[in-house]
Amino acid sequence: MESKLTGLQLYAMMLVFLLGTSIIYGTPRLVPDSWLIDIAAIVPYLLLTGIYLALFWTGCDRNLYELLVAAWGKHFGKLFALGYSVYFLYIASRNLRDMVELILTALLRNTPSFVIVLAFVGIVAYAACGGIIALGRLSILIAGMVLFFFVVLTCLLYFSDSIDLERVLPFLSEGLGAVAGASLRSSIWFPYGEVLVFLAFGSSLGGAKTLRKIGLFSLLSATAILSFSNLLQTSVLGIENMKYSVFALLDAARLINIENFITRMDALVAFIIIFGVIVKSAIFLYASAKGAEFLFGSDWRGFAPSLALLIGALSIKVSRNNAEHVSEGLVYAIYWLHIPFQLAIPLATLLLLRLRLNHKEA
Amino acid sequence: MATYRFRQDRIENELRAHFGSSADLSLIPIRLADRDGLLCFLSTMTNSTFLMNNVVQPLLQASYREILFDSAEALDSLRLRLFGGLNTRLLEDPGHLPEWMTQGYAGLLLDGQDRMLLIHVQELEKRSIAEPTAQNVIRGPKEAFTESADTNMSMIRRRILNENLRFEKHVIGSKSNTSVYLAYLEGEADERLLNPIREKLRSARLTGLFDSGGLENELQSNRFYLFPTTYNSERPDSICSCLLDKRVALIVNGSPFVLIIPAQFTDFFKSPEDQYQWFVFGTFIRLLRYVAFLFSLTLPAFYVAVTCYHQELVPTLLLTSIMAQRQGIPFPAVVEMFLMEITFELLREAGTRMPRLVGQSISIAGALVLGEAAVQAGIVSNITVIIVALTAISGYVSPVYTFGANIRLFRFALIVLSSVIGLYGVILGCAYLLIHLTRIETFGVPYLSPLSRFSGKRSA
Repeated sequence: MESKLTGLQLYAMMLVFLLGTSIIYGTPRLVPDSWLIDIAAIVPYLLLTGIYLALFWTGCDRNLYELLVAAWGKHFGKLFALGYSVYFLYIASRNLRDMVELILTALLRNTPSFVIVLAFVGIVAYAACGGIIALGRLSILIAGMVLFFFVVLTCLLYFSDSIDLERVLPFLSEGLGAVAGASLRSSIWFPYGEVLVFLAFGSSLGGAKTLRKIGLFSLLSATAILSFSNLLQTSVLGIENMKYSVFALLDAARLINIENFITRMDALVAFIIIFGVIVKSAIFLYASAKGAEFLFGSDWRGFAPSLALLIGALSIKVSRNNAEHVSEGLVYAIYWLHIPFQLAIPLATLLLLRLRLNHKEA
Repeated sequence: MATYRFRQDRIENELRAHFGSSADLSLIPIRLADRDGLLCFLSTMTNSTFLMNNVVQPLLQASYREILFDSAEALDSLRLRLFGGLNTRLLEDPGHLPEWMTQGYAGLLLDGQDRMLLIHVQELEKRSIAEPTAQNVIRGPKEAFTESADTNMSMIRRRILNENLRFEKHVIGSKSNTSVYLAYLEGEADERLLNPIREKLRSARLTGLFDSGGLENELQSNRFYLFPTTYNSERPDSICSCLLDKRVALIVNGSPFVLIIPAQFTDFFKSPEDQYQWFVFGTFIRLLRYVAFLFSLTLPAFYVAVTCYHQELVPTLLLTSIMAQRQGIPFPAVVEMFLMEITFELLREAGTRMPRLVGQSISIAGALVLGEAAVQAGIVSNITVIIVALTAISGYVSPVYTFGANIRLFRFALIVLSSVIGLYGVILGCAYLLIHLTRIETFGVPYLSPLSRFSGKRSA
């Protein structure tokens, strides 16, 4: 029995998914006014998700893998499905690596990273095995918690007099073009383009109409929160510090000091990211396991634990150090993986499906 | 005439063979008008006053002129004339007689009749209705369920004067044959909820059932759930409000605790008193209970993580004071914490199990010897004692005692995790608990969402 997510569940899931890692890492700081990037990305993002939505609409509740086979035929379709399944695993492992780097910086400096990863993938596998509905319920809780902690963090920063809006100046020092360029170059693919993964859930989403409405809402809220978060970080740290800070929100949180008593709120930040990454990785893991089910025919629950271990291993092996990890994410992953998988293949699939549909009707 | 199944000597022999030398088997020969008869019952299932007033007296004082003892309807007319107010039935098969007798029926046999009259004479001593002992309120009804299911059902019926209230009888326990009553409001409770419960009751493989706790284990959808999926209460008012809330109650004969299915996470933080107060105060208290729950779960683990791994997270002044106290303590913080937690668990267990008369000695030994002296001897630090005490108090805030018990186990797991990977472990532990909570479903109802979600949102 395939169950449907409620509207709130879907909204929370998308929101946590979009905020997940980006609330900590912040938008890639390619231009000084990084907080504008998210706002600038709205239009291209809408176009991108428009493609996914159209795909979903044409497919009538079929999931991504079934659509691929319908469009490309059995062999190519399955090849692409395999590609997506692996691609989801790769993104999950990148997210996991983001979190591991943060934990190593903020909480556990001397712990070997495989211990951190191993403990984590166990939890992720457990979350994913609960199925999409349990994930939806979890997302509501976690969305609430992430937002709550974020608000607390903002209040604490405000009360410790760390916020100075003048630090945001100079405004648009490199012009609007640079901002728009940056948003096209990175932000639209990560985190927004990753929403593609929701297509893998097919009928659980509850129809194209709700998806359109809820997707739009969650996009707008996520953009608002992310822009606000970036603005907050910039106004606390200043443009120069932002540029060199790896975990800007963490660095900002470390400036909290109220009467020498409430200090060092690293734990709050750790809470936010760990919970966010759990949901995000679990979503990817679930999607990937569904892909494996589609390809190999046995139940997805059997795949989830081993795929989770694979995510863990990949996250350690994916790059040698944090610098390599970041540059890989900003350059290679975008050109070699994100653009083909998030734009080229979905667009081609959509066109093919339309053609086939028209052909049938005629 | 000698061929009929209900011959007096034959029945007597059969009963003797069935019940053996059991002392409570009463076989009393009687004589009605000109007929011989036999009254048989178990004296432990009734009391003699009741039997005298309701069965023997009418039999003795009746006039038998109008009764045709030779006709087949003789027992029928007897039952109508003499035992109008009692629950009676006619027995065709003598093989079932012992079964009926164990359920509190007396058998009346009359020479020359091909049937037997069964009269319900069950009248048992029971505890009178008393104040609740496990779930106290300051304001609100002061009566609690008793061990008798009949009394309990009547207490529910008294509160819900509604013709749709149903009590469905089931018998559970292959050897004890305990009656279990499924109570619900017809039209309110969902059939999708009722049918699986009936199925579970039917398929329950228990030899004996002496408290609703035994049934609770049987109804738990998964043995490894950390949280109870049934709610139990000894308070009629809280059970009634659950019944109105489209839920189902299970009343087990012999248990003063009535079960409610399905339970939700939030139930364990609600006391019926919350509704009898100003809502702001009720909400405040409820929030406090959630905080207490979080405390009792994470506080020791948090302390261990912070002192072992993340000293920088503690404000400097507080840190110096903690560290000064820990000066000279021979154990690491984890061992210290475990020592005190286990000690407290021992105290608690000893406190509940021991006879009331020696109760004083335990509290003295616990408070003075273990608390005060252990600190002065430099075995544990003051702050650990404070934390353990705070944890312990928080653990008892939940209005339902059984809820706290399972969580206590998880607390130890969290302490171990925090001692190995610090705060990260605590966060992961909490995440595990959260995921666990979202995954629990009781008879199709998610543990974390309001009950109204049950209908509609699940598509077939």
